[in-house]
Amino acid sequence: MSNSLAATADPIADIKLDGISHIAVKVDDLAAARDFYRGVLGFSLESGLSLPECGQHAVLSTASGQHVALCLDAGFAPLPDTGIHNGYRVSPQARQTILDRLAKENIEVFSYREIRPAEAAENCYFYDPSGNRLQLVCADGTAAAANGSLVDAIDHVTVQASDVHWSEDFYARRLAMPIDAVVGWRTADYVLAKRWKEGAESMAPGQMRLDKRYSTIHGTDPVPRANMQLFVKAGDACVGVYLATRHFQMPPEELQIGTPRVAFRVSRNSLKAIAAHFKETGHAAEGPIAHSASPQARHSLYTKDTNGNFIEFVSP
Amino acid sequence: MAALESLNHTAICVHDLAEGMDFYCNILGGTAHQRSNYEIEDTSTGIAIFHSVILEDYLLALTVTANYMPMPPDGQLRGAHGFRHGFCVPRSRFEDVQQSLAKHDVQFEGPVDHPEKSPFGQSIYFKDPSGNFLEILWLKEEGSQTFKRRYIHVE
Repeated sequence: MSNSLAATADPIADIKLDGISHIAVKVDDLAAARDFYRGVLGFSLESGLSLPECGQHAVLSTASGQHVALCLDAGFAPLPDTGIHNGYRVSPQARQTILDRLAKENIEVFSYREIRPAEAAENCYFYDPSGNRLQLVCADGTAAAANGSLVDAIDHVTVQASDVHWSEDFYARRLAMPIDAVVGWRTADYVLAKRWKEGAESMAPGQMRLDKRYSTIHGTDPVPRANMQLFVKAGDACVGVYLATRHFQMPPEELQIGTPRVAFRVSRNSLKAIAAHFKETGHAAEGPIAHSASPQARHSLYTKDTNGNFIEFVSP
Repeated sequence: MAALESLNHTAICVHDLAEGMDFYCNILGGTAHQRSNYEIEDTSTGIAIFHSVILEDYLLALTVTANYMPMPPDGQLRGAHGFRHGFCVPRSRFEDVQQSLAKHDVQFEGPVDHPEKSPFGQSIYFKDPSGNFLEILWLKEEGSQTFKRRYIHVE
């Protein structure tokens, strides 16, 4: 139980996260992943672009100019029974094109009942060749025509947390990311959980769970409950924090750079303010490091959130 | 005989924690105290899903129900939906409380005068968004020991 609502540090003054710059996704077969993301999902391949701290990788781009780095990790093991997935925003026409291609490749598509309102319409899920779960979020996009990519933008990414309270403090308060939605606070969520247990609702992995009763109550059946989720905004994208259903291995404390990773787009001044805040509060970080990935990404600050998820802040 | 000292806290049922916390903190002036189900340990022990709020010297644990509760009629502002919580304010703040409720479009009944021999002066009656009946009153003998102050120690 969270002991109190006490804050761990003051909010960072005058900063704003403008959106998601790129995400680093682990794959166990780079060629297969590249073919899938290009050929089926219709991403554009940025053959001349290399992103820092991504190891051996291929860079893809959405129509909005965000990047997805497919990072090779031969030993990568996905987490299919958790809430971890990446959501991509597509137009209804692009969605249909992708669904047709998935059918042609005999790739199974799943549709679930959604709790977060923004994902309710015509959602569908499937897995890439490495076992990463992907979601298409339908929107009336117009950006797709710009560079030929079928995917308009990164809609949301998800991370796990052993303590969502700490995530809320880190993302929503210290980094001033507005809260988009919370799952697990309403009776409606628990009514849905009950229907899920009865087999009347199909829910995506990580959305619902079966809890044993309060530890002093013995001999009762597990109780269906909504799994706690917090969605915070970065520009027009979201980060979804899912309460982990079991403890997971966190990266070593001294390691600040790794994958998978989500990189937030910020101004140069915001980057400096975030770096100064981390230094002042003792939050371990590396950077800002200058590089030349692109004119929009010349300085990066690397760190982990309070639950050990790798994140990056990128500025011009 | 159990030598009970005082009422320590109440767990009340709500349909929406965000709505409930907004009501008790931002309209009634309570202080957020604690919340559950944010950590793996909470899920592994199956603890109830609640946020607690301190109003004056009393703690309410707003607990999410697994099913929808029957709601009292919309127009009924005074009653006991299983129970009713009554909170005191100094007489000098009684008018402010009414203005605050009105400002937030919370309908209330009253002020209602109590009988001459009652320790209570006047009360207003209203409901939270989940239909829990509430009352706010002022005492004729402010600062008296008529009602022992409670202490809060809930972990």
